[in-house]
Amino acid sequence: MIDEQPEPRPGPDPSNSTPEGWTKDMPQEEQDEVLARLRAEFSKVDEECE
Amino acid sequence: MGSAAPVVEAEMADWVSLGGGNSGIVGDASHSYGFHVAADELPSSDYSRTMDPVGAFGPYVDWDYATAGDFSHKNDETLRAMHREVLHRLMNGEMPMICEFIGKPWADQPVYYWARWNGIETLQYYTGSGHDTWSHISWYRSMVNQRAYLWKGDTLSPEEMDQLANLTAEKVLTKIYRDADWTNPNNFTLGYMVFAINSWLSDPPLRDSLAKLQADVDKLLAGGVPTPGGVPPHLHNPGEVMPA
Repeated sequence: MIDEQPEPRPGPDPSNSTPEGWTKDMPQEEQDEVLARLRAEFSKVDEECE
Repeated sequence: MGSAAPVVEAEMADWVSLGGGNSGIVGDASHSYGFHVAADELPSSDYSRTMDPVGAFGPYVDWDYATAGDFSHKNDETLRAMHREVLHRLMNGEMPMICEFIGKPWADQPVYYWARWNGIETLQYYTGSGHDTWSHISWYRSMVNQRAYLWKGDTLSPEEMDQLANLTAEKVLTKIYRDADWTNPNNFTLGYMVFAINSWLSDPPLRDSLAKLQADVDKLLAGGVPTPGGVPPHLHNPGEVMPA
């Protein structure tokens, strides 16, 4: 059991019950940028572990 | 109302022990669809069912389970960095039981939506509300008996190691020797192979171990283990030259 009570959070909008209803495509360039940032931060750690 | 999948509860307990917040697993009345709701309270058309690798009709680990957790980082940068690392691992193909991540990995960037079914390197903008101080992470309903070790790595406890060893042993015992599994391009007989290995490993401790192994194999064979073509008679002792 988890002692801490859940924090209040807004529920989803029932009119948008599929991911298509709450997502918008990102330009590929921005996706690449996010992935590059993640890799810059964490891939170095992976290499050190190997 | 459904119940929280124990695996998600365990991941939440890890997170809380690290200082994170529990923003919930089982959805309240406002949750009418998705992974915070039990499968048996949803129509088969719900995306959390249709997107499962086994399909909308299971088998699932438990139809009563809510299989998503909302893990709050409370805008704490140290905790938020752990959410970034989870997203990195997901986009690197790890944690196959996790199918969905909604969160804001950087304070100055938008909320992102990641779903395994879109491709592991695909991100979208999330246009719903919230998810700025917590990340929503969903398990496939058919895989919610598998820990992801989101926050504490995959170090096994002694009990978990025992459990894994037992499961491995059970799997090994189900294996049956098949001729095709035996890499033997020169068509050596089984007896010759044992003889050759025995000769190579001629140090007494290894030789004795091998003799014991052979005795164990003989016992198994006497018990009727299937061997295509039968087994040649045992014509030599360990270390001796095999008769022609």
